[in-house]
Amino acid sequence: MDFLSSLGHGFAVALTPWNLLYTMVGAVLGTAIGVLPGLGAPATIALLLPVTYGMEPTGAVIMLAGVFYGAMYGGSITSILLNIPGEAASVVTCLDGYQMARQGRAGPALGICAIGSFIAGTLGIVGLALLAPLLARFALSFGPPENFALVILGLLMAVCLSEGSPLKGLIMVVLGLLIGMVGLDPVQGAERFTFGLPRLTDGVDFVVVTMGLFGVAEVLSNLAVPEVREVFKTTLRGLLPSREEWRRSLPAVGRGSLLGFFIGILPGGGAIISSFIAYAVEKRLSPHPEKFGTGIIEGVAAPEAANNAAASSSFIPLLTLGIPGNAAIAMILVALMIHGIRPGPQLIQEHPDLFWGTVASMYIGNLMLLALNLPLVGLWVKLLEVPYRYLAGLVVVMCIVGAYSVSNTAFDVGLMVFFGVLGYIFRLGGFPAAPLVLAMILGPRLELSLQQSLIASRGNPLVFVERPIAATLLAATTLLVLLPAARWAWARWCKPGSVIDR
Amino acid sequence: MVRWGDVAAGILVVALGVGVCFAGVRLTLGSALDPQPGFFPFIGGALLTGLAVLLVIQGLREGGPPAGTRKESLAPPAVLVAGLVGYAALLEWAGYPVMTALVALLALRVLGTRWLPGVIGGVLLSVGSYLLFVKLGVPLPPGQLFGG
Repeated sequence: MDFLSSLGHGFAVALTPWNLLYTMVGAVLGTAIGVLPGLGAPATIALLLPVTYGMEPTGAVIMLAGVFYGAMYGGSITSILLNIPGEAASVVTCLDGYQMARQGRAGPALGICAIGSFIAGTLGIVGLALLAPLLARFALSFGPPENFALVILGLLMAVCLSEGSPLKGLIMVVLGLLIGMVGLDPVQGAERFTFGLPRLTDGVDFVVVTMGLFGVAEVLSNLAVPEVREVFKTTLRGLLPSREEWRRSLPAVGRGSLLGFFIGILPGGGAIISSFIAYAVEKRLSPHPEKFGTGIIEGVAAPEAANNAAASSSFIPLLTLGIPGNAAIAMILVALMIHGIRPGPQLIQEHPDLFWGTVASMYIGNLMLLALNLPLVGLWVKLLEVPYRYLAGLVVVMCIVGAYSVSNTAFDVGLMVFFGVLGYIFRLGGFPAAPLVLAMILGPRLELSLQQSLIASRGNPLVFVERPIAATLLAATTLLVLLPAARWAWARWCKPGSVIDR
Repeated sequence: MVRWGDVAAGILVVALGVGVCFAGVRLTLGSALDPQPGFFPFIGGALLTGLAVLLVIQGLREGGPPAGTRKESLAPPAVLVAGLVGYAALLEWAGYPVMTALVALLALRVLGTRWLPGVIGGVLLSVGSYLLFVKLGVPLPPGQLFGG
């Protein structure tokens, strides 16, 4: 079969010594930054971009992907032992995971996280390998109007699913679009928003912005609040859950995987929201919902499965449509672009090594992570004893190198500091940074597809409604805008009650 | 209770949006049939203005906790930012190793490291990363200070 031979080819790529090494490096680094609170996957992937300049694109993506899904494994360790999420996607794991640790059941909690993550991650990859080629084939027929509708939908979804106020998210999207316009315009080459600075004619680089918004801003906001970190002292004996715990958690892992997979495909979906929804669903389906939050194993298994499945499936929109769903995936998109690869429907056909090699490396990476997280969990706990200040120093230095290496100018370092301060202010005001980065990356594509559509249709805006796929996508977008408005009205006029109690 | 942070942010963004609109007009708008370089920025500026006005209204009307509830002390971030600005300004003259050691020392000091571990940490970070990245093919400036 075509599929199996492609996958076999992928394994041949992924099993070369260098690519195995990259998978390993990615998985180890990912777990490490997942364990450490205060350094997330987007910033780490951005920090690693300069390292990938000299690598083959396939190796680069394999390593960066490893960081992303590895972080999902690592984040749960900190949640369970410290009651602090190591990664944003592990916030809900704190609820029951920490309670289990307090009852002396930290071992099984960590065990089910690793095993559940492995099952979910692997299922997610199977889904990715099956679904992505189909979606890519479908998307091959997309013209400028479809592209335009797709980007709009993707950006709005990212706003709806990101944390915080949707209004602020929308403002960040428009700001991102405007930052993406700095430089020469894509149609006529006129200078826009360069403020007479010759350095800005090439535009603002994504790497510089991400380092600032996610790296420097993170350090700045950690400086402003004193560090509190207390590792829960417990003996880590017996990582395997009991028979009863297996029976309760396996269906939860299954449901979490499925939910996570489908939520991960949505732009803006990703790991964070899927873990919240998986927890809420598990609580609703449970015969004893009142026990959630007291240290119940389903409450750990479901969200951890969901965030790993979502981590796998969020590669689907990137590798088939060229639309990154979250900030970490956006950085992988940037890595592809640095290597001259424009992700889109043609990617799987034009770069089969890259696609199938990455998919196969994800199987291998998940296997490595299972080994890294089950027997070696004690090692990661030790990592938590390293004071944050040393990590912060390292982050600052890496950000500087990353920004400088974009075009070998100190100007970019200054620009990064500017975005760092901006990012810190955004955090203070509750403005989410991820929509800005996504919009900045997708902005030029949005503008180009809009202009192409209008030129081809001789200025007829109906072009977006007459083509069925574009019309469907835009209808979905409209629904997305109207639905929260309707819900808001409902909540206002009917009895106020929360839709999903977190 | 009015959310003053949102109101202030909204007013700032309104100003920005209006400015972008003007810049769009100056770049020439064209029309939907013949979009000129200013067309897209103008739409962006208009959207930004509209959204920010909504944010101001929302901030004035709706209560709830203010956006920033954490107790923040602004001095340590400000010191680090000042150090980083100085870093960007002096990097090409003083070179990567020297400046990085200094800024890493500053970061470690601001975070409460003692002088001796701070100096050791700064030098290790700077020299280590310099050697690593130069070996990886990322050219970092050695600095003109030492005739590099």
